[in-house]
Amino acid sequence: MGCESCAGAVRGKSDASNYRKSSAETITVALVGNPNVGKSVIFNQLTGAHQIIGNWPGKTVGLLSGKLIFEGHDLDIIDLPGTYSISSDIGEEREVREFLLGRKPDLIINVVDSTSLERNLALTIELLMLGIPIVVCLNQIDRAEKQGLVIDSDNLEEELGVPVVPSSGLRGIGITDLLKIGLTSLGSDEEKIERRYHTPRIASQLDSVKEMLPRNAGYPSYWLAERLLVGDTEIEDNIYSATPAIRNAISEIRSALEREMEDGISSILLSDRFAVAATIASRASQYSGKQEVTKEEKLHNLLTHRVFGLLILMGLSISVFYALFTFGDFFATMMIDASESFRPDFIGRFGDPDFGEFIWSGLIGGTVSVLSIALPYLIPFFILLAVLEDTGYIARVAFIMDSILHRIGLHGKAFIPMILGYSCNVPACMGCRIMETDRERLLSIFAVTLVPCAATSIVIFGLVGTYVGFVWVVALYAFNLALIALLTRLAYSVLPGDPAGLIMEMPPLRRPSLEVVLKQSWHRVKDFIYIAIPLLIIVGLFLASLQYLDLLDYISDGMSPVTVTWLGLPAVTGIVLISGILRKELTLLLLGTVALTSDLGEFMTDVQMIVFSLVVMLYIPCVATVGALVKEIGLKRATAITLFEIGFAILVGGVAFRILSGVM
Amino acid sequence: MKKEVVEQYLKTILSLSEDGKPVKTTELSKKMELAPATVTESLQKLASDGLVKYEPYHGTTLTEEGLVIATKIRRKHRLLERFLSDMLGLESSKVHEQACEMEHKLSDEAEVALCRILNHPDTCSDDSQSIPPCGLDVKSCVECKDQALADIVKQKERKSLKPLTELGAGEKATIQFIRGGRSIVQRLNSMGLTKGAQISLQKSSPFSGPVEISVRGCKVALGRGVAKKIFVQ
Repeated sequence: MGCESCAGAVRGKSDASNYRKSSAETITVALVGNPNVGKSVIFNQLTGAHQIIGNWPGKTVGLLSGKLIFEGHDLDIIDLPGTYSISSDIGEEREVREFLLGRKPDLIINVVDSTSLERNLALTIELLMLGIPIVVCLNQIDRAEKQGLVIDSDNLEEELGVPVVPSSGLRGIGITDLLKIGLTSLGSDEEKIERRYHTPRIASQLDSVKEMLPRNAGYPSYWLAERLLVGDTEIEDNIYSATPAIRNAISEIRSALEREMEDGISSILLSDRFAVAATIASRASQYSGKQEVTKEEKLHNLLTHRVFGLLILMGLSISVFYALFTFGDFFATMMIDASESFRPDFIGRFGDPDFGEFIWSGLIGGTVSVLSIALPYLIPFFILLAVLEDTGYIARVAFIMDSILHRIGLHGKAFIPMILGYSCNVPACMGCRIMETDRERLLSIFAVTLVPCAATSIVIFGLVGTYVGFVWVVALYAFNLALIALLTRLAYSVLPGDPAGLIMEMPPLRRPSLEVVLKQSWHRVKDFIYIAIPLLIIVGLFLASLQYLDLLDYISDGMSPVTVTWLGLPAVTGIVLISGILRKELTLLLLGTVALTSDLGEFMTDVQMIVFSLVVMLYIPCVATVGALVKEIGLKRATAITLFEIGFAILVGGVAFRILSGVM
Repeated sequence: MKKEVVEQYLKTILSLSEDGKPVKTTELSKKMELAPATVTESLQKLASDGLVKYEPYHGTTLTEEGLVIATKIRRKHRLLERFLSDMLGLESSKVHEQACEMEHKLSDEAEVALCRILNHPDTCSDDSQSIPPCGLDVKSCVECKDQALADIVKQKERKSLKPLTELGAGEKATIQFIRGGRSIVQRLNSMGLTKGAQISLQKSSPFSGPVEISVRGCKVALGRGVAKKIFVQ
């Protein structure tokens, strides 16, 4: 492949001002790169502590952005989701593309993993067509060196025609250079510069497409030519409505190419991009010394081993849960006890004790419950999870769990949110964002809401574990797992759309960075608190006002056909179950209150306890989870899942009551 | 209206309008041996489908779309006539009627194959009327033949491909073909799994578990179902 013909820097036409507005005050810098290249570390290094989660209008997923002042410039740095390409209209590819073309940042920092230059440069080449100033951040250069890979960044700079800065995010090397050099390329670039890199065959075809295009089309011209050649309908509509004549000419070029290469057009263009990237990468880098099996590879083989991998995972899960429950339970009890000790004093301050109780259970109780779940259980869990993610172990877990989850219609990645679900359903629902397609996300969210969270476990252990026996606790969990498998499998066959299998990059195993881990955990905790606290306060106030108005008995009576007749439970459990919407462990506390005895064994039979726990386990995702559901999948689907689970819990509870009454 | 009936109407209108004038309803009903009222009703239906232009008291003409269908049927009819008389040796008196029956059932694919096997004839069996050219995107019948040969070669090649899951650990191969919908193909493509990409199988886990491959200097895990859709050589 002749370099002269394929790598040409092309001066754009003078419609630059129309296409990119440069604002004098704030400079927008977008971080773009493949997933797992250490982009978030670079982001953290750049922005320090000044980060906000900004919601980009119309998008549910928040983009991280951070402000900083550098050499007198106000910089707004935006961390875009990791992506391999911006060609297609799926998921993050679309999101990044819409941001880059819609917001038109002043500078792109393209973070590139030095250890897999070939694949990373394919995205760089695509970005170069956009006509936005770019500085390439050659990240993890230290790891590349360790692997015996020497990269000539000057050569790379020459090949790409944009500045290249070797860096190590973890060690903070090259970070200020990134901004310094980035800003100079910004100043010198009043005119738009678009570059394109193709093999000669494709380049000539793209040139002829470009010739046909109208001026001032509103898109960077080579990029536009490529999109039209691929047949991107959205862009076609914009362009062809003005110039319908070129449609046929372009589709002729397309079919000629497809026939010649015997491949689909988008695959042809991607292959071409990879081919050029491979050439550039091989020119700029060379291996010194032998490549031998590294420690990392040995560890990887152990973690994904068919036997040892599973054993390690099981051992790790059990110890994590044991540690979390012991630790969490200790602190949660301490916090609840502490808040309870203030309670009489607080209520006493109000003239009317009923009103004092109302304020307490409405306002204070909700907040305390969030904090007593969030702090002791969630924060340690999030930190552990972030460590597992940052080291790359999570991808290994997804790998070994794939075939098991496949049987119930999910794939390996769903294991991560499901494990999260055992601590709390709220972050677990949010964690389902890692699933690629909408369908997979919905399925795994559904599965997650059936997982008994820490609060549910408190009820099961406190009731069945204490009064009926540990065997029944195990039986309940096993039954729950079977139900999850069955229901998810059912949902899998009912949901429209094509099932997607596991497609996942295996990130390298590495030492976690404390800063990234803490920040990651902090963002998750914040997300949880924002959703949970307001909802818990609102519903808490509502329930408290019912009590204040003495309506609770009426409600319990109204529910008795379900609770007493069908489920065989005491009538007062009606109101207990309703309170459980707030948070499930409340059911256990309230049960003690309404039973008017400290020994629940006198109040309920064994069968009643099992049925009650079963219903609590299944009947509704708590209000905070419903909030998360609405945020993640929309009101309609969230309502559907909630209603289904209420109905299903009642159904299963009633059937269990009848069967167990016969057996026990 | 049934497809056959529609085609029969369009074909008859085409044959009656050789002189370029609109076809009278009476003419059509006589030729098709149907009541004029039935014909009028059918023509209105065809007009509403955009296949003919029907003006009462004036006559009927084919629209562009109608003409395409009619020509196609005519081509199939005449090819079938050649086939029945040349290859099967049927009596010429019976050929027409038989072809009329078969023309509606002949798929476009079979039409192309028929034309190739008959050595792309110019005219129908009694050599009086010419066969309309096919709708393929080829410049000549030679190109059509070459393409047929190439298709056969390609099919043979395809048979020698195997799914990625059949590779042994450490084995290298080249991606030749990816089966599946647009979204999965695009996802694989953008991760570097394109046609012609070199891959090597790193690890294949048992019990229909996922496989790990190395492609373009990166490691990628693929579920068994996905991996089965990738064919290599």
